[in-house]
Amino acid sequence: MRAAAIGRPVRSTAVAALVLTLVGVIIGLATGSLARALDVGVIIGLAFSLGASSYSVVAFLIARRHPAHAIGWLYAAIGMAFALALLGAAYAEGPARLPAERWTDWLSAWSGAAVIPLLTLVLLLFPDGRLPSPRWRPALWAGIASLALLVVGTAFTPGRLGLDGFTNPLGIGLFSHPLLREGGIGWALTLLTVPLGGAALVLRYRCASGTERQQLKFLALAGAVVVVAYVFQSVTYGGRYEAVGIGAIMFAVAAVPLATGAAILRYRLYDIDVVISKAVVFGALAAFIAVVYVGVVVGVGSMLGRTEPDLSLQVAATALVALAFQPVRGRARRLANRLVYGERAEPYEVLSRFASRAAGAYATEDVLPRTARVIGEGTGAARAEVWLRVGEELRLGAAWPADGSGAPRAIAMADGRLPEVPGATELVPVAHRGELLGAVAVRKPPGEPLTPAEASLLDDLAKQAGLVLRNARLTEELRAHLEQIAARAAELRASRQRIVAAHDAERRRLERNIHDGAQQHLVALAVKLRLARALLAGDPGRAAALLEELRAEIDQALETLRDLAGGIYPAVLEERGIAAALEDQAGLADVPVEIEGDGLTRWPIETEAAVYFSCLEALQNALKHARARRVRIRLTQAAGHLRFSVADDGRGFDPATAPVGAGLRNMADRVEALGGHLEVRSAPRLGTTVEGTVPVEIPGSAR
Amino acid sequence: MTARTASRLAWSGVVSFGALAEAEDRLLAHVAAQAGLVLRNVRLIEDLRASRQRLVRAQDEERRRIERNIHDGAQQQLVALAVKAGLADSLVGRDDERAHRVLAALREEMGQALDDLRDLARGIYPPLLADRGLPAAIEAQARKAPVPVRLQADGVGRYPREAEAAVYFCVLEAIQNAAKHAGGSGVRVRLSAPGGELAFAVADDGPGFDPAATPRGAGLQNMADRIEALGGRVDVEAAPGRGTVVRGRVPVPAERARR
Repeated sequence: MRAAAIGRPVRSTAVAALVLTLVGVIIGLATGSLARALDVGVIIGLAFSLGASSYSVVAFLIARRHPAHAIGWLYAAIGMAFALALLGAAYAEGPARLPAERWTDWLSAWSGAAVIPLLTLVLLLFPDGRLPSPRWRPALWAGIASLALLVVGTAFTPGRLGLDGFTNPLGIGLFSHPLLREGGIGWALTLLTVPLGGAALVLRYRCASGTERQQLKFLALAGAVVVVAYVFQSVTYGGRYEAVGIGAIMFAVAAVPLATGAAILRYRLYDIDVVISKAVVFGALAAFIAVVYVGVVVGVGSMLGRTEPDLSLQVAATALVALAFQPVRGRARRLANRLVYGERAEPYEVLSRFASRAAGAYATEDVLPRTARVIGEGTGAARAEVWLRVGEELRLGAAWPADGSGAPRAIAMADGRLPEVPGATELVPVAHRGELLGAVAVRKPPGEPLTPAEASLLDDLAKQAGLVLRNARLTEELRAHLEQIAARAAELRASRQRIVAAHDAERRRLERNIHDGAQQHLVALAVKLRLARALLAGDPGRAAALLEELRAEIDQALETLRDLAGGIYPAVLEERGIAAALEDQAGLADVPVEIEGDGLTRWPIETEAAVYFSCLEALQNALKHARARRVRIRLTQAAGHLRFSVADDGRGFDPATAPVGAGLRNMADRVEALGGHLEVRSAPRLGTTVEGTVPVEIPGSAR
Repeated sequence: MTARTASRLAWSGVVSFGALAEAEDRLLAHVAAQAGLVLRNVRLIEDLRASRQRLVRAQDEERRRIERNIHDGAQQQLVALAVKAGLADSLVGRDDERAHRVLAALREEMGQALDDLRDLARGIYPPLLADRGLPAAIEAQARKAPVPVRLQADGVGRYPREAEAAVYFCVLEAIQNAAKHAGGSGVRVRLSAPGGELAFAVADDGPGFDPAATPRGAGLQNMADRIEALGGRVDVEAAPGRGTVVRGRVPVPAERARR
């Protein structure tokens, strides 16, 4: 609310300035001062009123959006100064005699003097209405001082006010001193503040990014217009087109508030680059023409001693301009493009650069971004994209400039045709030997359509990109392949390592078993044997009992050892096959184990061992962990495969949460090493089924 | 379009055509390199698969061998012991003198059976290796070897079990090979642990052989598979008349000061 209240005086000032401007124009027209010399006055007057009203309008708009913005205040003041200068001059300078003309001329004189120092303040405060840093305060004070000195100096300098010969009604003798006369050192201060303002802008531009940079570019554009107009005005000064020159300055002055206002209000900020590039081109051309004209017509003319412009010299100058126009325009355009877009060169350069870049690109990951960049730079696009066709889809291969914009990265294709690419000005298919490989898309800045030359360049580039895209796709496919292989290799390595680890663990377990089992039995037997021998002479009865015991214990040790050996590798497996070996194990279980293995023939020993130990592991899991009431083992052989399944009706588990146990994992490694695979299916309360297949070569081959 | 522009355009066309041909060559070379990589990796997969299969087969083979050993060795000895114990039992009180002799034989055979069983267990996995590390375990085996074995172990400490086991069995295999083929010449074993690796070398002064003409023996192949599964490698250097050296190394974490 407070900010809105601050904005109100700015808005009123701006509106008042507009009204005054209008009144000034009306008075000027009515008294004929604007129309005094049609070819001169109308332009000046209109330009003045345009300048005044543009500042007022922009001040009004800024105050409405950003009430406390210093630039709004400055523009309102400038608009008011312009309006007063116009009004005063229009009233005073007409041929008709009107009351108090002296005073309005006086008003016009000092308010006109305020415009330039006010503008230098804009340089210091643009675009945010604040100084770049507190260190810049002296510059601001210098600007304000120059404003005061100019206004006061102009208002009180005695003598003639303007061209029309009115004398200053408030002239004070003190102000005839050269330091104060008509602003005096105020001008010097202004001359000091202008470069300071420029420096402030350069500093801001260096530190700025994004929006602020764009805002500064707007001011730079307006500044360029002013400079060009100034060059033009100085060239025409004192000549037939003097009024046109002055008018150009005024138009240029009006351009400043329009451009900067647009920047502050952030209206279509991002389109500025195009305007700048065009302005640079036209500015350079105008400067070129002016220099040639002045050089030839005035310079050569004065050397020849002509005072009046010579027709033949003018013809010569025109011819020179006509001849040189095209090359100069080309250079100016390249310059402008380099300024605005960085590199953006002529088509043939682009084509040859594309080729050399594609050649220079070592890896394909480089080729696509380079291609996008060349296309973008070559066609002056705001964005260039290279799309790769992958199956029935277009995928974004690279974009220039490379940014994380939210644009889609993949677009589905409809029956092999190019889809619409959002935001693209032009989409050109890329094919190689009749196969659609992708597309290149460019997005031009708004308001700058693709020129025919750029369009044909784009076509040429798309044709050449075919090769690049084909290779990119090949490489892409190969890379995907390579990744798969690498994953597979890693898996195999891990599996191999697990097999070795499992083997080591088994060796250790076996050693422990022998050591703690059979070996201890034998040690105990040896002790008893010694005892028996000692008793033999003294107590044969006890010796006999001990030997009886000894015999039983030897049998026991034998049994332990048999079990151990059977666990390592059951002899029955080798002698009678998988089903028989499993039957032996099933006999030891406390729940019914049903084994279906009819018609099973014999297989290579490693296959049988893998199937037997997998089934055994699953069976032991079912008995130990699943609390099964019955287990069913089924062995079948089909073309090229030996299948087995071990199903229980136990409590089951959730495979998603419970990891596969180490035993089963080892079995899976073993089965997979033979080229088969193992699968575990289970659900809570629904039992567990372990299923596996192992490939076998010749069906029915017995050993 | 001026003549100059036209000529420049034409020239740049020539230039870009040449450059493009070069670009195509390079890109194709790149693609070919990638394809080569794929092929090489496909071969790697085949190698890995084969190695894994060999490991499993070797493991099965070993199971069967142990089972046979127990069956034909300790089990048969126990059966004989049981018979002899029955005989001694029946002799007690009838022919004490004979019973005494049978019991003496029984005791001796019992000791033999126990030794055999111990050897078997040790062959499966030597407790000495777990307890005192590689140099001690190899030293113990070296004393039993039929040829003189000189062991040199510099700064070898303790390493993960699987690395120690792999090196132990590999060195044993190499010593056995040397004893078999090297014609009674001495065998030198060297263990070392240069940064991050556990390395071994088993050298003999035997007749050597031509590795290019001789396939790797199954025993050594299995050992190599085992070592390679741990990320290491085994090389055999040999030449006719210049002896044989089996070298290998396994990556290990920085030495742990255990014990």
